[in-house]
Amino acid sequence: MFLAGVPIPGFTKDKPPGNISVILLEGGMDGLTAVPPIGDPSLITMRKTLTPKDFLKLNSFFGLHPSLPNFSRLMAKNNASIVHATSFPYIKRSHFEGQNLMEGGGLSPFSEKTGWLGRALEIANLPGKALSLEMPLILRGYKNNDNFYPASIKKSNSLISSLITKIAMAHSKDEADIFAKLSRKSSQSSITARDPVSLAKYAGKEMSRENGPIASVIRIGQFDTHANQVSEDDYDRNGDHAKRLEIIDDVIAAYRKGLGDAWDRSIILTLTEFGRTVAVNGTRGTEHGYGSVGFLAGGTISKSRVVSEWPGLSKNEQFESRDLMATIDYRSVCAACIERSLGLDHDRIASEIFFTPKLPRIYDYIFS
Amino acid sequence: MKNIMKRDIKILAAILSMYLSSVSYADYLDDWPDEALCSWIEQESPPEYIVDEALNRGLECVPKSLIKATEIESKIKIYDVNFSQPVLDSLLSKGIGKTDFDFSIYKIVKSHEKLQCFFRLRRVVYENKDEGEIENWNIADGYLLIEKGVVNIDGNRSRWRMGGLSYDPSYLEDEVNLKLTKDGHFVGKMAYFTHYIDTGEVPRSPLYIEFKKHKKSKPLSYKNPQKKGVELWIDVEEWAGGVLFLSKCRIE
Repeated sequence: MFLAGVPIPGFTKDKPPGNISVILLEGGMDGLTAVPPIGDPSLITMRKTLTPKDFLKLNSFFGLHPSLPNFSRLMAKNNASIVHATSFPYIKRSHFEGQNLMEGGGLSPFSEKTGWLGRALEIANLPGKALSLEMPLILRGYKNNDNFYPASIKKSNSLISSLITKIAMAHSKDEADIFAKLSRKSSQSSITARDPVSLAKYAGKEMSRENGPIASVIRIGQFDTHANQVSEDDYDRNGDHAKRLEIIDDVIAAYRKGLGDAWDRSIILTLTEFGRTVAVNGTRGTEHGYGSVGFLAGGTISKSRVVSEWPGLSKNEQFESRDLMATIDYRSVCAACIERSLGLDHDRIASEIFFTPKLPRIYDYIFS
Repeated sequence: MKNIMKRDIKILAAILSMYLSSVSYADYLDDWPDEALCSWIEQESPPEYIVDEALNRGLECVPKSLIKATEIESKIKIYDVNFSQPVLDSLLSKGIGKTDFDFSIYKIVKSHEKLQCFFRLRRVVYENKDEGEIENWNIADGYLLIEKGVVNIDGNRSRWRMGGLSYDPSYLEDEVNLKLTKDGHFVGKMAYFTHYIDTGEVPRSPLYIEFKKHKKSKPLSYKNPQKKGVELWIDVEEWAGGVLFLSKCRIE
């Protein structure tokens, strides 16, 4: 979890109109399972086992995976939308390159040493500060963004704990029990590991404070479902992919809870490096693909909708005869969210943050 | 005469510049063979004028991603979300979050008096005996406060003892949505840690379990809170459940 964009008195002139949170879905999320295009006749023939049977019908063309109950409630409250058949402009299906491009926001992988959110915060005069040993690429800017990772934290005793554990392993029963008890006791006062859900709630709380951070980033991994995307009984809800969707859903709900009243000026968006193949493979999974889905949530959305230029799923409509075609450049979605949250002009975002002056503006499709 | 000459020169210059700018790339690329354009297209970020020329010639080497990018804005469609009324009503009746609970079917205590109790939560294991065995250690303990039927756990004086994430006090402060019914049961949902997580183990997220009126429970009497032996039983998993013991209850 990374917090960034803390307004500094005397440096940040105007407080931006909103805040922005990014959820990085690493591994390549299967957008066709998360938001099945039920109105496309090719769906059921091409991926019957991958499509949830008890999806929520959003309209005559799209459904929503049942593992997203909180997101569906936000859609009912007109506070959540979906962009479908979208991707960053990257077609080569490498995690390393794709993740670099989705964080860097450049024209090609490894072309940028800074990240699109870091550049946006810098233009908005909101220097970032990441609570992390490494500054994530997405938040890196040219100068004022910085990271913070204190080497010495009060009650931080993980080294002592591991030492006690090692000593305990070398001793006989009675002494080992004493050491085990001591180890447990010492760990109680140490910093506990956090999961994405509790981190999202914490991030939301911090962002809701007066002069709190404007941006946050949370990572959720393991979307790379080459195998067991659905369970052996072909019931999608029990598969690995459904469990990852549940985490997205819980993270968004936790943000909602943590943000409180600040929800009304917030936008949360997901990023993933690419989608999955249309067809299922031999191990009940899918391979790296191209087009996927972006989830958007927040009080800044006033009308829930699915935004798409649907490319079709039949073989000749697929990208390279295997993937969902991406018809919307996801950088346009990021640009719209920056425009809404940081109040920057689209043309400036397009040319200075994404280095693409002609990047289409789709703000009105999302926020009107 | 001089003025007329000046005007003609200006017109000539304007026409020349317009001509040059319009033909610059087109003329420049006219001599390029298709193969040369395609080799540029295969680069990671081909220049826009190369893509335009390749599109003009209808070359098949132009990937669909580039074709669509040039036309993107005009073809995007908005698919409005259109829930049926029963579905919409159902979705709107529920809150956001895992502890959301519909209390409408229960008669909840409305008293303004504050009732404070000490609680101990213990695990019941059903592996060896059908009726279950209550383990002899607290998986959580502390103090709770009941006001207008709402159960609030005092995060400063209460704790889970299950290691890992359970040490985060916000689970007791924020992830508990319980109310007291008039017949002395707790109903609602809360975060519940089922497994002890030792140092170095991967943390496990809590389950979100539902408190119901359990047939084995010995309910709390709001009118006689000092009555001893309050036990509120909870079904959690097949192999184990829990018992919430309340004691030292007093009106504040």
